[in-house]
This record gives sequence, structure tokens and C-alpha cells, in this order.
Amino acid sequence: MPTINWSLLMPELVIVSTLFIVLIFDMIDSLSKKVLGWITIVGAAIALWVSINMLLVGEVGTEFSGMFEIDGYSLFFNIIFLISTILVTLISLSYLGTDHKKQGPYYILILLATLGMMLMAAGNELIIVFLGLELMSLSLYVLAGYFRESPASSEAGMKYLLLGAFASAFFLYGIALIYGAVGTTSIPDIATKLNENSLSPLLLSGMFLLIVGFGFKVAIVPFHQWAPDVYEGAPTTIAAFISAGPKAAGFAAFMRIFLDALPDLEPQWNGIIILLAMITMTGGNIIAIAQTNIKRMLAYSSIAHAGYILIGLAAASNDGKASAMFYLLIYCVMNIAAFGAVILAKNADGESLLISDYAGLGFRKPLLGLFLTLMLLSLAGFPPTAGFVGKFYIFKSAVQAGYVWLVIIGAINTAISAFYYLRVVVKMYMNEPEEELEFNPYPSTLVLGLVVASIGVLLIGILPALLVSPIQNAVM
Amino acid sequence: MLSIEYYLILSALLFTIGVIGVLIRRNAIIIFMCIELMLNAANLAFVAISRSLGQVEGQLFVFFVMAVAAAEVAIGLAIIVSVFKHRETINVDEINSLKG
Repeated sequence: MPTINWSLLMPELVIVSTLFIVLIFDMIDSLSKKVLGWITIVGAAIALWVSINMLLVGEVGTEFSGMFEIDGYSLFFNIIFLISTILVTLISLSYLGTDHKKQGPYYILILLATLGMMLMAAGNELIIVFLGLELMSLSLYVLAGYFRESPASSEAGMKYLLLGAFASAFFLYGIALIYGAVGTTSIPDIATKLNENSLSPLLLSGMFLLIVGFGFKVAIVPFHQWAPDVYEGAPTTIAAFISAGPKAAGFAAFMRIFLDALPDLEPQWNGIIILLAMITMTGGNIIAIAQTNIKRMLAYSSIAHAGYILIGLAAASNDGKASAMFYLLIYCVMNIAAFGAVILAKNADGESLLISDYAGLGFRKPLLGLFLTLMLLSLAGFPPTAGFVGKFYIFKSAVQAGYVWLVIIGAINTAISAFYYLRVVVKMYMNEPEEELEFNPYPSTLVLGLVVASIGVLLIGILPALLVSPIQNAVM
Repeated sequence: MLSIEYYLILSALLFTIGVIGVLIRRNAIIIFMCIELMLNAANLAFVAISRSLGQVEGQLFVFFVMAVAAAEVAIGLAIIVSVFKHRETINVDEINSLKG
């Protein structure tokens, strides 16, 4: 009976315990359900603190007969997921309102999805990655359709479910074929066996199917069709969550499998990844220009951002990996905050989702104008925000890998994206509103979440060295 | 014993039928069944490969996949029912209020 070093699994254990505490507290009727959200935040914060400590101390190793790998890479991704969870919970506290029945399952599902993401990042075995992916996806399907009384939310849930399950089946079949070709599903063993074996069609088709599966999960063109519909229909907080954590988790597993298990197939997959990066960036940005609904615009922008991150994967080096991780962290914070600012624009009639509704809001709601402007500038990649630094490192790693023309396409795309981000800013500050809208007062927890995110975005933008060296240590 | 190729070809055929079903059928439940067919094609491949390699792992994976598929069905049917309550239809072509 092998002994298990439980201290390595601390972040996961903290999340599981939090989940049970929320589950139990949800059953106490006399308790205000607002407490559940705060328990979630505290639990995630403890797990975050534990992960950061483990990363700094260098407490790494494998567990469960090598199926679970805790290294700098997975710990850093834990930090990304937990920061996303904390921010999303903060913006959810006021969004869910006072409906008591809704609160318990909501936070439990968010925690389950977080646990799934952590399994994906730490999975050192394709089946563990698949189980993590499913744990995450199943929780998210429910969350996307969480507002059952709203036809749009149910429809978003169904679309996400059908396309997500379709993608999972591709992913699973890819695993089966790789298992058939190599005879193992352990990531390090696949890499060693590949050295001895020659290429087989089984292996190559398995690899293609994995790309299709991941392509759906992280929403890269041409597998992106679900994203705008789901983001538009799902509750705005959940759209923020889906656009952040799961995308990071998808990339965590994507990079681990392709860089650690299939490095010998790089000549085969590199061209595909580069092609996907180009069409994802260009497609996402060009379609985003035509959007009139701000949630759809942010959806296409998040598709375009997946394209930038793919450049880091295409570089296929430690630098590329580090820059993609850096970018994912920044992207998660600024994207959640951008969705949070959209929630802030909620008026008495409901949410203002059309970009034309934002006319004149910059002066009428100065705080909203400030947050949304900062986040859109960061998404567009203007200095001195974190978005600029993130793009800089991604492009730098691609230049070092010799893909100068890919960087040129990325830069052109950044210019295109500035157009639609700035259009919203211009609308907010330069146009007069068409009608007077009644606004609710600012919810304090939402503002707190946005302040934290804004400080993070500016701090990393001005002092990127704070993050760069820990990440480089993490991928070594 | 039949050689492994036959099993893999059968599983690839099942998988392809599943994919085609998802793409051409318009009833959400049928689409869902086709996805289950794809998962079962993967299960068949796992079992056949595991048998031909003389390993037990592949057969263990099938249990995990079956559990995941069952969970997916439970959630999927619940979501489809909640859509049906709003629209009185589960034809995916008629459920298209989100687009642009």
C-alpha cells in the first residue's frame, strides 16, 4: 500500500473541504445565504495562499503512482484558477441578489469546476486530464443554464452542453487512439515510447482529435461557434468565469500534452497550431468589429486572445510556455473585470448589453467608465497596462523561436482589436445618451472585485518583473 | 481471435456514425444519443486495445468513461427539459434566439 503525501495535495483538499462546508451550510435555513459566497472566497483564498507558498518553497512531486504531477507549472495554473474563482465569486455576490434557493448550488458548482481545472493542470495521465475536463465542463453546463426561468440562459446551457459533450467525445477518442498507438496513457511514458517507435497513422489521428477537442474547449476558430451564444445567454458572471478559468485550464492541459507527451511530433503539430493561431486571431478580431452586443463583442475578443496564447504554444519552448502562462493570468483578471464592469452597467430595467446603451455613461457613472476603460485598454494591449506586457512577452518568445511573420500578423491584429475596444470608450465619453436610464446604486462587493483587478492590471503593467521571474522558475 | 484491426475499424465506424448523427439530426435528444455513441466507440477501442496489449488499464478507463457518460446524460436531459419548458420544442433549428 503506497503512502500518499497529502501535503502535496493541499490546494485540492482545501477546495474539496470548502465545497463540503458550503454544502452543509446551505442546509441551515436560518443562515443568510450571502455567507456561502464568502465561505467560497475564503476557501479559495486559503487554497491560493497554499499554492503560492508551495510554489515559493518548491514543494513539488508526483502522487498517485505518477498520475498526478504537482510541479511549478500546475501550481502556477492553480494560482490562475483560484484568482479567477475569487474574482468571479466577488462579482457574483450582488449579481445573484437575494434569491435564497439559488446561492448554494451556484457556489458548489463554481468550486467543483475549479477542482476540475486543478485536476486538468496537474493531470499527468490522459485519463486524469479527461476526468478533470469533464468535472469542469459538467459543472459549467449547469452554470450556463443556471437561470432556468430565462429562455436565453437555458438555451445557452443546451448549446454549451451539446457542443461541449461533442468535443469531449473527440478528445476521448483521441486518447483511445494514442493509447492504441503507444500502449500507455501516462504523459511521460508516451514521450519515452515515442523515441523508440516510429510514427503511426493511429498516433497522428489521435493527435488531430486532441487538437479538435481542445480547440472546442478553448474556443479557437473554426471550433468557436458556441462561445458567443453561450456568453450572451449565460448569466454575465458565468460568462466571465467560462471565458477565464476554463480557457486557462484547457491551455494548461493542451500545453502539457503537446509539449511534454508529444514533443517528438512537433514537426507534425506545429504547422497546424500556427495556422490555427492565425485564423483565430484574425477571425475573432474581425467578427468582433461587427458586434452590437457587448457580451458578444467580449466573446469574440476572448476568441482572439486564445489566438495570441496559441502563439506561445507554437513557439514550443520554455519561454513560449512561460509567456503563455503569464498572458493567461493577465487575460483572466482583465476579462473577468471587463464582464464585471458590464454588470455594473445594470440599470433598473435589467442589463444594458447593447454597445449603444453605453453612450454618455462615462460621465454619468464615472466609476463604471473608469473600470471599463482601463480593462478595454488592457485587453487592447496599451501600455502601461498588463495587457501590453503580456502581448510583449508572447511576441518576444515567438521572435526568439523564429516566427517573425507570425508576430507581424499578431501586431496587425492588435491594431484591429484596438478599433472595437476604443469604440466603446469613445461611445462612453464622446456621445450623448439617447435616453435617460435609471441606475441602481453600485454594489460594494462588485466594486471591491473591480478595484482588486484594476490594481493587479496596473501593477503588473508597471512592474512585470514581479511575475516574470516566478513564472520562469515555475517552467524550468 | 480476430485481430485488433477489425475492432478498431468497427469503433471508427461507430464514431463516424455518431459524428454524422450529431451534424445532421436536429432533435436535441437524438444528437445527445449520437454523442453517447461516440463515447461508446471510444470505449470499444479502449477495451479492444487493452485486450490486445494484455493490459488491464484500458478496461479500467472504460468504467470511468461510463460514469462520466452517465453524469453527462443526467445533466443533459435536465437542461433539455428546461429548454423544452420554455419553447415546447427540442428542435435545435428552432432554438435560435441567440445569434448575431
